[in-house]
Amino acid sequence: MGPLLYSTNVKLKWWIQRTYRSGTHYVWCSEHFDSPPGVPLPPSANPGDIYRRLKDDITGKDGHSTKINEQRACLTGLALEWERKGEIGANDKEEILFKVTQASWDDWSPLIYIIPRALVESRMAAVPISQRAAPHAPEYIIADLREVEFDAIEL
Amino acid sequence: MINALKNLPEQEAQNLLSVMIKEILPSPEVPTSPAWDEAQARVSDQALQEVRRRLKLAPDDHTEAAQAQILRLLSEEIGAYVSRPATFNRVKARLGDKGGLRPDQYDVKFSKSFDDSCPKRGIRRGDARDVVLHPDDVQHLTPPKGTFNERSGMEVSLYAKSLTEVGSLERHTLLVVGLRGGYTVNVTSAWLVYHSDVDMSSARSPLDILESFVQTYGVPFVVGKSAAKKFYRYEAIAALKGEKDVGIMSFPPTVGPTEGEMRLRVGPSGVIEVRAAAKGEKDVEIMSLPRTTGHTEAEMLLHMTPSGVFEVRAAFIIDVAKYIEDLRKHGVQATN
Repeated sequence: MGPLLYSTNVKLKWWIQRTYRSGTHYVWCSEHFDSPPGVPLPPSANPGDIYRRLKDDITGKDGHSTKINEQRACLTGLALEWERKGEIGANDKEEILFKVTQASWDDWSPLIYIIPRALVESRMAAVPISQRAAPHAPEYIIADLREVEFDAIEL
Repeated sequence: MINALKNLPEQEAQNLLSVMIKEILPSPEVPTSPAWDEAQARVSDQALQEVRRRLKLAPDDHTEAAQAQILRLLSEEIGAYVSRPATFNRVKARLGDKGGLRPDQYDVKFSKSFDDSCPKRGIRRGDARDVVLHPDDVQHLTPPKGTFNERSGMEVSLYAKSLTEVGSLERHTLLVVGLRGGYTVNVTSAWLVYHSDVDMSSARSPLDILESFVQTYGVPFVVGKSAAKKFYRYEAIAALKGEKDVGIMSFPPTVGPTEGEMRLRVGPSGVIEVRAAAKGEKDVEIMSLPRTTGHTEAEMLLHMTPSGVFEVRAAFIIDVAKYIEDLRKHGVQATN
């Protein structure tokens, strides 16, 4: 169990959460950035692999990119959900939808969040085995990661 | 528009699309959908079948690639309503005011002050436009909360781009100052900042570059009751008790709307004083400028509120003679 957690997120999501969620970020994270020797992590539970896939899709301007389309749908769904729950207003929802529909390739660029485990240990929710990409690959959700608790970097 | 949804009210159609996304999306971040009633389930099935036909996907194609195409189409359907021209421009303007658009999504205009000065110093409109649309770094300044009201057309944006001319090792930065209003940036000035002339060692942002530039070429002056400084940013001056002034000229501010007026006068020591008054109010001293022997240029991004509060977004005065002398050292054909 290492001292750091890793999560890969697109720039647009980072911007939206910073702007409309008061800098509170919802992240899905892993104890390893990449597969440790002899323990292959499935691609969807591997922040390094997600990062490389997004980078490749952006470099190739792949309009059918699975990862980008999932992110597009996720942010769209979240904008509606947040408004429905009264967490954002109608104007905010419109602005998020505008940003998503008008996003450039760069908006889908991946960022790696590096999170010191000690700062978030008490708020890490383990993903149930049934929802993991592979049973041997522990994953965690932090629903309220604050900006002072992680560094976001590009490789 | 998906035909199966066209008879539904917009909000209901959006909610249905959102639930369809949740059903497909492999992410717990978007919560599990609420229970469907029978009618909703039927419409959703019809919509999904229509989407699959439109994308030419087989009904049993549940590959990752197929799901991604469906997700894209569903999110585009939800986003379509912000793409209608009236909504699009309204939302774009709101985001523009906040500095929330990409630089290349802003329209660029040029003020008379830019056209009067910058081309004489080797900066053409095209150069400044390129920096605004494709900067290395952009910084949208916003007023400190609780002191200033945000005003469309009065908020300052700074753009910087590092340049090295062919055949020259001289690193320099083109720094552009603009006022943003909606999705328009009105460029008011631009400055060539040579790194050998201006201390850039601690500059981390366009604002840092501007401050370093002003420390090198700026002239100290007084705003309100402060001690003389070269650079002012976000200072609000409430009505001060003014003496009677001797008005030598009266002019409207060159930038932005105003409900009052400003006056210049030469004070007893030769210092030029700027005084301002809201309609029907006594005027107050806003700033005093040193009497200089050379040529100076002032960048005063300011506004007076109806209640007589004078808001200084950014203000500095450049000793143009000194600036031009340095530009010429670098081979720039600069004139007054």
